[in-house]
Amino acid sequence: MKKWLIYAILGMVTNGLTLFFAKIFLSYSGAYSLVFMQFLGGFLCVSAYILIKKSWKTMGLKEIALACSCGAFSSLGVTFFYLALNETLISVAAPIRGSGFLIFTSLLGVVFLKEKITLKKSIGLILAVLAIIFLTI
Amino acid sequence: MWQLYVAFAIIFFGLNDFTVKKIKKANPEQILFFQLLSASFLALIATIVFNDLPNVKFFHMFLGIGLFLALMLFYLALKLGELSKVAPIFGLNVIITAVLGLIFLSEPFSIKTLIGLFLGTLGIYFLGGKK
Repeated sequence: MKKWLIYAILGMVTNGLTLFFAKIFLSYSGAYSLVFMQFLGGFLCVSAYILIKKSWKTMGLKEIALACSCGAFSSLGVTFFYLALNETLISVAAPIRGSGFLIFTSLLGVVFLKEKITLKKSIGLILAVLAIIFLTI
Repeated sequence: MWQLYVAFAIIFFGLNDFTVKKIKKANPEQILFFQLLSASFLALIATIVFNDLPNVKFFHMFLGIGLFLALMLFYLALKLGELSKVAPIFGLNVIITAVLGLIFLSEPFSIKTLIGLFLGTLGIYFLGGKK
């Protein structure tokens, strides 16, 4: 099996499991504190990784600002998703987030990066919309 | 109300992905470092503002290990493979979460849920697949 495929599958499983445990923790915890502790844990992990690998190199201010804005977006994204998980089933919210995320990212690519909408992408968009309808009605 | 929360989550996750694509000169771990630092800071402010500090539990930090591993593995896969192949595989994580919810949390199951899951998986494949 190719290396990238192993990484992608492991990443997929890890992320799926993380969301599942987040749903369990949310049954007795607040969304805001859970998001905070999750990001803090992630920050400690990446800091340890950088220290062990000694992979730090200088970064421009622009890159730092962009990475920090990613932090703001991901923090808001996870918070809103956990608030949704507090109110509905994970088997409903997770596929909607997955499909909707791909639709929105595709739209950003088309509008700002001038990417083309192919037939395959159009079919994917229609299927994703149908999935959302089936999961919410 | 949860539909609105999911909609906002989708928008912010999309903006995050779009912004990551804009960063050229940095290692994945460096992007993660600043991303998680600022995200922790903002989440701490939200925890204080919404009076959720009493619910803070140390072991919840273990979710951060999952977050870190998932993102690092995704970046490593992206380094070696094509985005159009890696992204749809990674996107299938939501199906794993949904199936785990149905099995272990005994969430109600219906034909509509099954069709929705199936269409969502197909949609992710078509959206992320090659031209």
